[in-house]
Amino acid sequence: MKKFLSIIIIFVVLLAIGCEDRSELAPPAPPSTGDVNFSKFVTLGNSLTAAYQNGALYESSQMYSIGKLIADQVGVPFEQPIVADPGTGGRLEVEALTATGIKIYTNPNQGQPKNLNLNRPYNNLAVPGAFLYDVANATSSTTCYSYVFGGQQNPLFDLVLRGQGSMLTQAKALNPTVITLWIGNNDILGHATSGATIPYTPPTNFAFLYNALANELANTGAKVVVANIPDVTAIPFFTTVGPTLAAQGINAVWAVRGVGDTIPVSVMTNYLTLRAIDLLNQGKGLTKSNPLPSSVVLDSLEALNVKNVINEYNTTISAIASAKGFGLVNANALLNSAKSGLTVNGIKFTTQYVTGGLFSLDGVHPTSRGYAIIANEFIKVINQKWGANIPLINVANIPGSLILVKGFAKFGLPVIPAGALDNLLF
Amino acid sequence: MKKLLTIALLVFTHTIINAGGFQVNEHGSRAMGMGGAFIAVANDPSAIYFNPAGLTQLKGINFMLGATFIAPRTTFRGPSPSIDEHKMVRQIFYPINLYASYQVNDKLTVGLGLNNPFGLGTKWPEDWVGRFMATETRLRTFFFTPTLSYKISEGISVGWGLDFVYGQVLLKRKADLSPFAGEANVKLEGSGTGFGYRFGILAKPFKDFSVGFSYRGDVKISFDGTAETTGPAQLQGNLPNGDVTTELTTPQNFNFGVAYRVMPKLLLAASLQYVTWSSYKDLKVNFVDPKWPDLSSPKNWFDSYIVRFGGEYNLLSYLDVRAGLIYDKNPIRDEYVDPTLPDSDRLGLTLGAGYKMNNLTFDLSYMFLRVAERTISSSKVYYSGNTPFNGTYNTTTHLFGFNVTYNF
Repeated sequence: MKKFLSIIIIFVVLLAIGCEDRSELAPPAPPSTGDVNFSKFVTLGNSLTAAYQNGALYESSQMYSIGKLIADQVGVPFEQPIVADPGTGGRLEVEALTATGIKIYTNPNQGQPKNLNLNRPYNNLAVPGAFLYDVANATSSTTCYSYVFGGQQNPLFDLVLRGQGSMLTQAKALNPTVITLWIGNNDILGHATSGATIPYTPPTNFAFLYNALANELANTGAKVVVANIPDVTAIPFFTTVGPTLAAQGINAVWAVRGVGDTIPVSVMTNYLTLRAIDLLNQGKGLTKSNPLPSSVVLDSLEALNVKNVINEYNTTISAIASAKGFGLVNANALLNSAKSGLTVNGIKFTTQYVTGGLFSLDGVHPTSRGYAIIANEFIKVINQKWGANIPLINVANIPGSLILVKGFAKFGLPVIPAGALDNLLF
Repeated sequence: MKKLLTIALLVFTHTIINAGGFQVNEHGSRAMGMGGAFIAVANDPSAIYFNPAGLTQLKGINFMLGATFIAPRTTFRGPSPSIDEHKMVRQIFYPINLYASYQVNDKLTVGLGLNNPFGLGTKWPEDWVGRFMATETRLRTFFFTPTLSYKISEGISVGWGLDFVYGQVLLKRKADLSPFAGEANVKLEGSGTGFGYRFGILAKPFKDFSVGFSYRGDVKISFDGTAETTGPAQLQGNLPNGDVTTELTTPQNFNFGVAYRVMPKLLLAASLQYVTWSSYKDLKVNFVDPKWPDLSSPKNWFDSYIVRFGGEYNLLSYLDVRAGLIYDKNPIRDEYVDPTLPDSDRLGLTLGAGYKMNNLTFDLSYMFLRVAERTISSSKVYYSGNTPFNGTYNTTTHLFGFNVTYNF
């Protein structure tokens, strides 16, 4: 009997402890941020830093803004001007997908701002549509570059800045320890996307403004990371229509060029924007008497100029970053490498419209995964420059963000409603 | 738009079935109380399962019926470096057993068995981190087993059985639809049949000592079923749906056992079970419609073994008490452990009792299984992109068995 009793005792003891998870696992150590103190982390910029996507700014995209993703990796809080889904209005969504294409729907609804009462400036002070000029000078929808120089209000300045001063003023008010700045894209992109009908910021002005801003940022004592300007002609907004037409055997369309003449332009050496689709569907571009307007075609001469301007901007950014000891993210090189395809965390990305996975439905702004890829570039620069060891974001864990999808119209082009792309902010 | 189709096809690239390791060995309460060391004992109708030669020990007509209630608890901590705990949804499984034997004459006994020797399942929360691998996995098999047992001499008996097998399988998981927002639900469901055989030998070379051997052959179950993927309407045309076929071959089991009546009231027994899981090399699911690609996932399991010790003590004339100890070596390589079957080496302790009342016998048994904590750091199972599903699994399981046996 003793044997049985001892078995029973052992048994009961094992039973008691057996139900517990006995694992003694060490939680992951907080990442080393090297010489960088992330306690006051501020991001400045435009739509790309705000996490504008699919033609709108909305919460489920803002959750994956570059700054928020970095802050999550480091484990610090990061406040943003959140707008509940579907966001600031006009969000592009996938209405249908067929074997031949995609049909896009413009969501007419707006969401409410959710973080308006924060009693300090946001960590993410980026305003969609901001120009370089705006960082230090714009304080509202009527003091921003687009209004001062173009008469067009940008209400997102009011949303983000809340009347408390410019991006720069508010950034300084936070006594920042780390600042990221990605600005200047709009200084050329608006020009490019309008088929060169809107003027760009001349490179000399750009250098002047950037230098002044860099001095201000350097004076805060914060570690500063800046990013340069990608080659905008690599984005699907420019690279979708031409190749799709070419695949249908349409090699040239009639268009008004920047220099004023109307000629058949090659669809491969000139860039037809996504805005050309609606006009092509109306029959424009097929005859000399009914050409595509210059505003939807970035012709080869204009494109060359755009590339030259971007190069000059980037020379400026690089020289200033180097002089001030700023980290420099080479966004231009990143997008160029994406043209031939990127594989990140086992997932293949290309710059293809919709299916490439990098760009959202507006053809200009990244998807959430695209933003995560860019955020990783910022992390790499911080790690390398200041001896930090922040883990890279697992891009595969970021959810897909093309809000659902089929019906290509004429020439196998996407169906994008008239006007859907008119008010894009870049 | 060809790429869209490609995206959709990725839906099925994950591991699909892992049901192979779900062998349940508890098919009789008396045997279970003795840690399953029953190969050289086999003195109740569950001998049809453990060793059909043992049926010659039974007089007259016997009916035995019962079930085993199995309640596993599993947690996963991970994926590394995270140590977040994810709990498997609690479920209770209840494989049944039903046996009948008829002693035709002094030499010959026939029997008929029905039980569920392969089964169990796992279920994880719908929104858990591993949902692209598995949310629910379920396998059930029914073995109908007619047997014939023959007593060659007082010291030696042999038995044969045929297995007519019916199986059901269900696999559910989520599929990532990137770059599109949202997820699809993937469900594979099927049923199939197979055929196998078994035999056993029971010898009593000396007084109070017996030795047994039994073999249960492999059974190839051919499943026919359907794959159903439901997602957002816009993507539905790109999601794989249609008839599928798959095969699952259960392993062979070689059982060796000894039993010795140490004292008139105390019986001790031991057995070794060798399971040829190495036959489980990969799992393929074939779509009948060639539009969808077939799937294949590697398994490369090892052969494994189970060591069993047990005892039965005749406490009172009408009451037997039992205990047992089990060590069960798991057959899965680290790289291929996944949440559909987070197996590990198991240590089992059993207790049991049998109560006799005239022609009726009631048997109760309990088993506690501690499944060794298993930390995977070299996983080749991916939960998103090419990120390995590394982490730590912990499982404990309680089993309760009962049987009623009636002798005419």
